Amino acid sequence: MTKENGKDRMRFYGIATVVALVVMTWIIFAATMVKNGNSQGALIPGIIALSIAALGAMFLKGEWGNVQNGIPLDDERSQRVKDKAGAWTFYSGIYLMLAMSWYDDYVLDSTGTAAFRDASQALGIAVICLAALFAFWYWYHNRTGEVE
Amino acid sequence: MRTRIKELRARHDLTQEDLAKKVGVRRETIVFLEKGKYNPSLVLAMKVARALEIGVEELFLFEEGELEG
Repeated sequence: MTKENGKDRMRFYGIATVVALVVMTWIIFAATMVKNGNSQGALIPGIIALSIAALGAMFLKGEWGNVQNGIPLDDERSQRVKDKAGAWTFYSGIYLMLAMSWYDDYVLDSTGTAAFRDASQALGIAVICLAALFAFWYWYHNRTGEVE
Repeated sequence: MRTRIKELRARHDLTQEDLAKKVGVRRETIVFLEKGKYNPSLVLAMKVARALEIGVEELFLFEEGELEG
């Protein structure tokens, strides 16, 4: 095990821990809803937990193979993809915030109640959408190879 | 930009993964380099050229006008 490889192994364990924590958060969210008698409401968090667990397992399996073969988790190209995905997440995040604000006004005007229960719910949804946008832009730039 | 990576890799009997491991990058980077779709840093270009035992200017081929300012 080289010094670089040792660093990658540690990073891998870190990523695996984050994936496990995210899945557990969604499972706890779903379980709390079931406990409160809202079994139907638990369906979406449950599906999200399962999807993240499945995608995460696939990703981690591939990366574990790379780490064991001495291939780095990150290199100059993946770093450029990440930078570009981050920039595009920022640009599209501005439109996301505008869309959320417009949607809240629209729902408030048409139904008399706000679209989001409170600021923390709106923030939570925005964070989830930003994470999804980053994943999309990472996938897009990694696939097309447009990183210049 | 075109590269001779695929040809030289085959000549050295290296897989994309072997070359990736040799130069310390991910396999996708080698895939995009071979397709001429990724413009590497000078350091990476030198590492790949060295791994394939060739000069960097013989590995990366540019069309006429591509290098003009």
